[in-house]
Amino acid sequence: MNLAIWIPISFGLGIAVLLLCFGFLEACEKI
Amino acid sequence: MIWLLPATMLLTTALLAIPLSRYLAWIMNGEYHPPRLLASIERRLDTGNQNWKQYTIALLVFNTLLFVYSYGVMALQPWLPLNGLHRGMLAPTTMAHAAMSLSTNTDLQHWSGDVHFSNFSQIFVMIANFFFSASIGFCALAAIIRALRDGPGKVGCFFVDMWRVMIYMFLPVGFLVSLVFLQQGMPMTFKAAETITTVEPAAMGTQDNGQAKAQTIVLGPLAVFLPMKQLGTNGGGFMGANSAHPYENPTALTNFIESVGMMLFPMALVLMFGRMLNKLRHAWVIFSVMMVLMIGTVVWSVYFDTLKPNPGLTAHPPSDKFELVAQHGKQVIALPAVAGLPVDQHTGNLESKELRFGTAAGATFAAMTVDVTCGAVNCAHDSLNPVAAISPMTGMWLNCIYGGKGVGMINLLVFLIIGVFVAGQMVGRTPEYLGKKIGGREMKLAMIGLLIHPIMILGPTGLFAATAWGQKAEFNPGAHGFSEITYEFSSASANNGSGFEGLGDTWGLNDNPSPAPTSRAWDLATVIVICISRFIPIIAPIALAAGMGAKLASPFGLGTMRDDTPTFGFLLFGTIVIIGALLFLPVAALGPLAEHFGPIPFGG
Repeated sequence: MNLAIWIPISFGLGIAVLLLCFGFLEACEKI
Repeated sequence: MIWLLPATMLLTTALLAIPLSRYLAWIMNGEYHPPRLLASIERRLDTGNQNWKQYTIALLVFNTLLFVYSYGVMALQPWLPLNGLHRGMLAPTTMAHAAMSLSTNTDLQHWSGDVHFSNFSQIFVMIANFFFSASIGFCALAAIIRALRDGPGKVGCFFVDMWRVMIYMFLPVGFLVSLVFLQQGMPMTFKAAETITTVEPAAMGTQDNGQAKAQTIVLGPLAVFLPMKQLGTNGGGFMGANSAHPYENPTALTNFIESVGMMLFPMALVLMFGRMLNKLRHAWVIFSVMMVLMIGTVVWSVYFDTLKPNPGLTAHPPSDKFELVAQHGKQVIALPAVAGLPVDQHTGNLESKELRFGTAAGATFAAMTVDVTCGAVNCAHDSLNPVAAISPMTGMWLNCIYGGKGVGMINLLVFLIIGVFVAGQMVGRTPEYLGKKIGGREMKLAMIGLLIHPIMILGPTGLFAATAWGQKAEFNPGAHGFSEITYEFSSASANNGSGFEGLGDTWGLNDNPSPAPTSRAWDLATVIVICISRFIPIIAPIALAAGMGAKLASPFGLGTMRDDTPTFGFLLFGTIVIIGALLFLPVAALGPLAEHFGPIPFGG
């Protein structure tokens, strides 16, 4: 794999999904 | 004798869980007074009482840092010490998959520890995550208990809880277990490998000049790796063969301890739940329901695998021929010639079993490891008889048969809230749990916590089964291939980590010249599934408990439904089984059941 492409994609995906969970936590307050 | 092994394992664990639960409650209630040095560290970590949201944010931030740390260490592997076999950098998607998998207590492995990891990575990525990720689920349960008991503003301090779980619980128990493992012959060394000459000349093949190749046997600190792999219900293997490898499971005694070890904390946590809430009889009802389900899965697995022959050998006479629709049109396939061989089948299905531990040990371990979402394996689940494979899948689908540390009890709590709600509707009373009314908000959060699991299994399974991502990866066609895909996403979503295998999902080291063609898709899909299925079912129940904790408890009256009776146990059992069947029976019919009733066992 081309590291310059796939490191940002794979690492970024992991962080993005974790951030989604933070977002869900915020949403829980409004439920 | 077949039943003696699982019965002894379950009984031993249940008996040990009783005193352990008392100890855990004592620690988590802050009644233990540690030595001065440890107390001083604890004071420094104590940032004060957190409310439910602060606690959950701390939990998520900690996990995010764990993901970043794990990814970073793996990326730097070629330049870090303890790399005697000169392991290179893993492929980026494999690193993301591994970092997410390990930091969430899943330990699903698209890599093989003995092939792709240096000893530095085994210690500082895997063992470190074994402690941290196991503690996180434990802390989440502690927060829920305190939210229910003390209200949403007093759920404790996440950092103190993490410290207590790791230092006062996992470390001492893990140390004792590691001494036994060491005595039983488990390697404990920083040496990367031993090169030996095989007894049979050229057993490993020959070099170009005709000389016999030597065998390289990977070594490492297994005696400290294994205790937390099992006690923390992590399950990630030092070796690719996991607990079937003689270094990871040298004797029948270590197999017994590993089995008891993975069930110990999940069982004890159910009773800790009751002790901390001062509702021990209620906890025993929950414990009994879980035990019935666990016995059911173990009996199912052993009966259909150890006491039944391999249908690949016996289902049809060798003269039978079947039409199979393959990629290149219809083919007429004769059953394998082995079907006509006089193979003795009275010992059941022995394919891919580690017989050092007995014929039933594989099927027993398979059921137990998924019920408590450990994921360690001592046989190949891909080789279980088709119907027997329903047992491990059921453990992951229900995900509350003791379950992982903390999260299993949390999942059960969701089923419990739904069961109480349904029962309340049936008798026309406002449903309540622990004297707290269950309203619309609680039900919404419970349904989110419940439904995210099947969505994360069934959605990706359908997508991968219908596209080249799945079709190019499965090693078997037909129903067995579908089971392989289903199992992978079930394992990811349940944070289990065991592999059915039979899937080409490994890229491995980045310079691998022949990676599995769709491994990138598998890596990235499991990153998403693992993460969402880990944290949504933790966050929603914490918010739910916080909401309930804020309500005033109703006084116990004549119309109050008691939660410490066998009737309540039946209600809970029925809720779990009916909801589980509604959600997952169709996918079971397309996979293992279709394979069993279909013409060609194991997909031809």
